[in-house]
Amino acid sequence: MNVNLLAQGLVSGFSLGLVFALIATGLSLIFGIMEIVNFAHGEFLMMGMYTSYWMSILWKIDPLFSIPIAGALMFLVGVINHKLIIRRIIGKSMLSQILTTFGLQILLASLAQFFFTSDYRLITDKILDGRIQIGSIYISTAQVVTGIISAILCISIYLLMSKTEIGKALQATAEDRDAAALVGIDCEKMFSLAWGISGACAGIAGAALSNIFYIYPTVGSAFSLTVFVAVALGGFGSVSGAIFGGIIIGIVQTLGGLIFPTAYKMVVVYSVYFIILMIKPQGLFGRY
Amino acid sequence: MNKSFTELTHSTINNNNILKVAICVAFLIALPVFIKNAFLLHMVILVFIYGILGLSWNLIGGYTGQVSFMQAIFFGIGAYTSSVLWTKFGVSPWVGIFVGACIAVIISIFIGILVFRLKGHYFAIATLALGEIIITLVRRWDFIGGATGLYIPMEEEGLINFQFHNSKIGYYYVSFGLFIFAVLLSYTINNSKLGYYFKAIKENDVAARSLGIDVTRNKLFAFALSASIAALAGTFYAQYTLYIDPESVLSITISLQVCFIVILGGVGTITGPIIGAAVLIVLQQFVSAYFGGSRAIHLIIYGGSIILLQVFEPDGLVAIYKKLYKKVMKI
Amino acid sequence: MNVILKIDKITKRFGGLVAVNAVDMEIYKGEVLGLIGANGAGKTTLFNCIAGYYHAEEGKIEFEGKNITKMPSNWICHRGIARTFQLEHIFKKLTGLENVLVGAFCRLNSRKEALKKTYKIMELCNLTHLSDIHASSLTACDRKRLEFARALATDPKVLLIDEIVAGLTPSEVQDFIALVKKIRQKLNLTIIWVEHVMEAIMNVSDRIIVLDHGDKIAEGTTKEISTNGIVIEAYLGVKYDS
Repeated sequence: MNVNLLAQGLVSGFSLGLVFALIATGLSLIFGIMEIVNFAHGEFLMMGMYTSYWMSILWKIDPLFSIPIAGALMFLVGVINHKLIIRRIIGKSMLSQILTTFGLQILLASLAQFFFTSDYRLITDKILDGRIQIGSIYISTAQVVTGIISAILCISIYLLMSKTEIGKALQATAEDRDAAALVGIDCEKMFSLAWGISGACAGIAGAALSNIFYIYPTVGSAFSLTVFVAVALGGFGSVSGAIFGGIIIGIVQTLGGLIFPTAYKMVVVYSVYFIILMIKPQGLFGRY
Repeated sequence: MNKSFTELTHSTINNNNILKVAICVAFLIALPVFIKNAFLLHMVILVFIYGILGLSWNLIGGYTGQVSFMQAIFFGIGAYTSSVLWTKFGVSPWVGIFVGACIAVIISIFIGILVFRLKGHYFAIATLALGEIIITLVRRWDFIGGATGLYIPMEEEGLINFQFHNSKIGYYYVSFGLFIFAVLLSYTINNSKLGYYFKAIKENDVAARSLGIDVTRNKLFAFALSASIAALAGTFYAQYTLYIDPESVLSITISLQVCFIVILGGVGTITGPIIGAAVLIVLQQFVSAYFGGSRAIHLIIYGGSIILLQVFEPDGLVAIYKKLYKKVMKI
Repeated sequence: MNVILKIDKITKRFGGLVAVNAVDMEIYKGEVLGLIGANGAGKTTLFNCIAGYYHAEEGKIEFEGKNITKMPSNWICHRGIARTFQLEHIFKKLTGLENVLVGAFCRLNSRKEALKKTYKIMELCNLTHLSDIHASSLTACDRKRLEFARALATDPKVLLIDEIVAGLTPSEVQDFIALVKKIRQKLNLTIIWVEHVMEAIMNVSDRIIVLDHGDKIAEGTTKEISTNGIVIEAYLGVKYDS
């Protein structure tokens, strides 16, 4: 394992990690606001990927430009999900909430299979083709652009949460629903907004990733657990935690895949997760 | 104003209940006599298996409130232990079933020590991650079959070999026996000090500690009990299907299904997991029959029903039944 | 008078904040000791140290001669110190009976024996009418009494009561005072009672200790304390007419 390979792994891992960070941010946001882990988050990602694919096939829209479209669409899906389902399970037990989002995961993945069949699809006609060389490190254009877009969005959300009125309102709702309501914050709107942002994060990440990965109904699950681990690592409820967690997991996963046989790469990821949790059970930046 | 001691401690065991249970048991014992259809018997056996799994998960998830998503792992440990012992070392499955349960206990305690310091969602996700680690490792472990799995060679039929070929009756009674064991165990725990300690931990572990309860030790105990029962079902399954692989005995799908069964029927009750298992298995067969082929529709309905159930009646069928009963009684 | 609980220069810090500062106390067997002070004085923190929820950084706590400073909370209960909580920690989904039963199982293994004990305690506290009701459906006062009974069911030698009459009506407070007096006598308990409701403390306590910002500022009989200038300035406000 030479320095070159290590550097390559770090760069690839960092880029992947940024995308994980974006996905994880969406997930962590929801948990921070209403203490619900959305196990269907991976399916929102999958829907973003399919959006990009169909835009490309049907209307020849390049995956790069599908990103905002997927984002907007999944924002809507997130809001609808809140209004239709999540709103009704807010007060219920953790087991109940977990099962609901698991049920949603199964529903969405199987709907995708029903409508799109389980064929693996790949977008071949895209702007983000080819690769860039920096020194002796190769990185695909798609990786660079997706990394940059993810980074911009993560930072934007972080700034949104910490510097804007809306962000403060979201944080207030997260901290104490009743108190927030008493000062005039419309909590339902805040929840819907959070779900919308969360959906958009996953959708955008999905559209971005459609430049790189195969698309199939259960692709959500391939990313899901990794992203949950990233969020738990960073600490549920913390946006900065999710960003760090995502990046760390992206790097660990890529390096793990280089050092150990690929099949064990996830074992490495989960093991690192465990080790850190043993030391800090609430995650690196965790609130709960 | 003060009640008497007997009033206070009136038990739920009364002649009425004992009669109801006795009738059910008698019915189930007699079932294979007048139902010979192999498919129907197969369904009932599946209900027993999932009933056992549901009751086992109930101990850790229902009573003690630790939502674990790795129940399938212990099911798989049971299946693999007895199968490997038999195919590689010639150890009878009747010994294997016991060893499987012991190994499940040991592993559950080891895992428990690691993960019980985690709370709530962290714990749930940790169990998911652990499940994934284990299934990945098993897929690569060629000695026990790897991804292709293990075939258990057909032997002469009989109880000694734990295999029956001509009819399902043998399997029926063995699974029924295990099922009754699981039910009796759950019932005993439910009314005992241990059961109350489990419930106290779920309700409020801070208060539990103030009352002298060693929370970690009890959680480990619940986990170990839960694991051992699941392992028993695992060995049975291996002997029943004579083929196991990581997908069929270790996957998260099974774990999820077990959780769903319990919550469908009613968490923290004994009848809940049983009814949940019965309803789920029957419905699954129906859906397969009607929409068979496209697995997607099957899953669409499954996912949709999970959501609907949580939205409208998260306390499960037992709660629905109780509510209806009250309404009917008022008439 | 023998000392059942000895608190020796206990110090507990939370980061930069010193919640309890080298506090010394001796509690005598059979007495009722009132512990008063402003919010943030360190009373509940001290309780948590005694009961094993916090571990003090410095100092020693001895119960019946044995060092319990670093003991976990469930062991301390087995040793014989029980407590109630300032914020309710009742078992909401269990019935009244079941709540107390969990406490009774502390010293007993058989359900039958535990039920007998539960009945005895509930009868003593006049709570048997609540046995079949789920705790979540009870009034605040009943829930507090239930938590009280539950702690008693563990057969303690020392009972720590933490602001249990907060938020109760005057007549409910009176009932509670009467209950504590009865329990103290019948079960031969030593009680340490943290409270803001002066009526309760002054009526029942043999002695009072006052904490302020983590320090012990006064110790004496109720008469002495209620006329103590330092205490009045720090906490009582006006000369309390006991």
